[in-house]
Amino acid sequence: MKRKTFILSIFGALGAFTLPSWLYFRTGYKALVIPEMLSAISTPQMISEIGAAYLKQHPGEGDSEKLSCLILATADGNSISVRRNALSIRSFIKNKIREDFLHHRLRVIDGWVLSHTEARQCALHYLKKS
Amino acid sequence: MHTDARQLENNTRIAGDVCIIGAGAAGISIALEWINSPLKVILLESGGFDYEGEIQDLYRGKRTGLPYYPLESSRLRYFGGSTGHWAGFCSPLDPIDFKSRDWVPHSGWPFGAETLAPYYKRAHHLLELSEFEYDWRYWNKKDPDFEPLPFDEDVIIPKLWQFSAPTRFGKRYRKNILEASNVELFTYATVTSVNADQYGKQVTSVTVKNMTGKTLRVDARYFVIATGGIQNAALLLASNNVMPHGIGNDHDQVGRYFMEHLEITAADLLLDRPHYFSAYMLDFFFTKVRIEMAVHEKQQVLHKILNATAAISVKESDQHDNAAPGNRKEDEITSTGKSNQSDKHLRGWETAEKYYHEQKPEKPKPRQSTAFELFCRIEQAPDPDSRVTLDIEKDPLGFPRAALHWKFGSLERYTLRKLLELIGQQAGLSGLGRLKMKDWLADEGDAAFPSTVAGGWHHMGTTRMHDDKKQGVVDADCKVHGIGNLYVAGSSCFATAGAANPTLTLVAMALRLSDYLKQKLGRCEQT
Repeated sequence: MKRKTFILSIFGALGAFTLPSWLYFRTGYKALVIPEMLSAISTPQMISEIGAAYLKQHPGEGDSEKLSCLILATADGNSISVRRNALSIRSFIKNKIREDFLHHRLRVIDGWVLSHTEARQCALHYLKKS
Repeated sequence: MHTDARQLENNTRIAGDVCIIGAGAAGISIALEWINSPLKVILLESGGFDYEGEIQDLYRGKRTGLPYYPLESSRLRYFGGSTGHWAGFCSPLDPIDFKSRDWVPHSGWPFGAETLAPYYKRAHHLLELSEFEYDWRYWNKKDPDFEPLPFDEDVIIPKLWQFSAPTRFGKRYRKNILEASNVELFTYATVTSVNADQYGKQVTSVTVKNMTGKTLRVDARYFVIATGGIQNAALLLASNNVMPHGIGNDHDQVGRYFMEHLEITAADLLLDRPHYFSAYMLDFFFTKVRIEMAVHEKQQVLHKILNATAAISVKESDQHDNAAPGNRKEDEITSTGKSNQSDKHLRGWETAEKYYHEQKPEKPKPRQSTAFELFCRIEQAPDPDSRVTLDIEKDPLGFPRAALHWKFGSLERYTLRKLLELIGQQAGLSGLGRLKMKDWLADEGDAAFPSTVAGGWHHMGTTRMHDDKKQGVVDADCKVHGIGNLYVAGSSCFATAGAANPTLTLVAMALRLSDYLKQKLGRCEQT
C-alpha cells in the first residue's frame, strides 16, 4: 500500500511539473503571451511596458486566467482551448487581431495603436514576467 | 515697363486702370493676365528685384499667443514675394474644405470646389507643374512603382502633391512683366495707405512711400491688394483716414481668423519587414509628384474632425538628407527680437538650386527601411481670436507694424490623434506594421501641442471670404464688402485652410479674380 502511494506521488509530482511545461512549450500558451507583430518591431521590455500601461487603464483584467480567456474568446462568447497547438492558437489570434482592426476595436496604449487583443497579449506578457 | 520709384520726384502722381499692390504670387499672376490688354496696369512692389535686409525689416512685427516664427522670416518682401523661399508643394483643396461643417465653426465658402477647378488648371501652367491630375491611378500608369499603401481608400486616401520647380515668380516672370507695354512695375513703392472717398464707398488712390522719404500717389479705377496673408489685413486696418477702424472693417472682421497649417512630426510607422514606399518619398528638385495619406471625407464627417494629411519619410536616425534646403529650425520659432533667418533661408535655397542646376546630381536612390516617421499637416479651424492687429510701433515709413496673436483650440489635436489612429488602424489591418504616436500625443486628455509645433509659413484667413459682410471681409468675388472698387487677392481670402499648401489655390483664385475684373472692366468700357 505504501509502495503504491509512493509511486502515485512520484507520478503526481512529475505530472504537476511537466504538464504546465508541456502546455507552455507544446501548446499555444507561448503564442498567447507574445504578440507576433509587436515582437517583430519592438522589444520584450516594450511589450511589458505596454502591458503594464494597459492594466492601468483596465484594472479589472489584471488576472492571467481572465486575460487568457478574453484573448481566446470567440465571437459567439465561447473560448477556444489554450491546450490547442501553437499554430492553431497563433492563427486564431492573428485572425482576431485582424478582426479587431477591421471593426475598430482599438486601444491606444502609450501612443501605440493596437488591436484590443494584442493589447491584452501585452498585459499577459507583463503578468507572466512579473 | 519698370520704374524705380526712388528715382521719381516727390509727390509724383501715377494713374492707371488697375492698380495691383504687391508683386508676389497673387499680384504677378494677375498682372500677367493683363499683358497686351488695352488697359493700363500699375504693379506696386515694396522691394526691389533682390532681397534687401532694410526692406525685409519692414515685415518685422509683434507676436503673442502661441509661439510663431518671426514675422519677417516667414514671408519675403521683394519682387516675386514669398515664392523666393517657397518649397513648391502644390495640391488643390478638397471638396469638403469648401463646405460648411457643423463641427467647425465659421466653416464654409460662398462657392464649391467646382468653381475653382478651371482656374486650378491654369494655375498649374503658371506654377510650371505637370498635368492637373491628382488621381494616383493616372501616375501609376506611367510608373508601376507609383502605388499607394494597401489601405482602404474609404478611410485613408492617397492624396497627391505635385511639386513646382519651385517657380520663383520674381525670376521666372520678370522679363514678361518688364517687357509688357501696358503693365508698369514700380519697385521700392510701399503702399502705406489705401485712400477712400469721403463716403467710404470707393477707393480713389493709394499712398506710396519709400526709404528716400518720397511720397507718391497712385490713382486707378480698380485696386487689388495682394501683399500676403498678414499684410493684406494690416494695410486695410492702417487705411483709416476716412474709416477710423480701417477700410472694410465696419464689422470688426479684418485681421481675424488668422490660420496656419499645424505641421509636426507626430508618429512612427514601424514595419516587420523593409519597404521602399517610393511613391511617398520626397527628394527636392527630383520629385514631381508624391502621395501623402489623408482622411477620407466620410471619416472627417463621422469623427467630426478637420482635414489633415501625413507624409512619410525614413525615420530620422536612418534618414538621408531630404530636408528642404531652406528648412526652418525649431529654435527659430521661439526666438525673439530681430532675426536674419529670412536671408539664411533664401541663401539656403539659392545654394541648393545652384548645386542642382550646375552639378546635376543623380536622383538619390530610394532606400528600404522598417522605420518611418509621419510628418502631419493639420487644418487649423477658423477662430476669430486668432488675429492680426496693428502694433503701436511703426516702421521707418511710418506704417504700423503688424501684430500677430496666434491661437487655436482643441479640435486640431483631436484631429491629429484621430488621423494617426486611422492610419494605425489601416497599418494594422493591412498587416504592414504598427503606428506609435510620439510621446507628447500619448495622453488623450492632454490638449496641448509641444512648442515645436509650427506653421508652414501659410498665412490665411485674415480677410476671409463670406457672403455676409458681418462674417467676412470680402465677398465671393474677392471684393471688399461695402467698397465698390477694392479687391483682395491671396490666401487671406480663404474661409478655411484645408490641409493643402495654399499657393496653388491662391494663384487659382487670383486668376479667377483677374477674369472677373476683366469682365467688369469690359462691361464698363461698353457702357
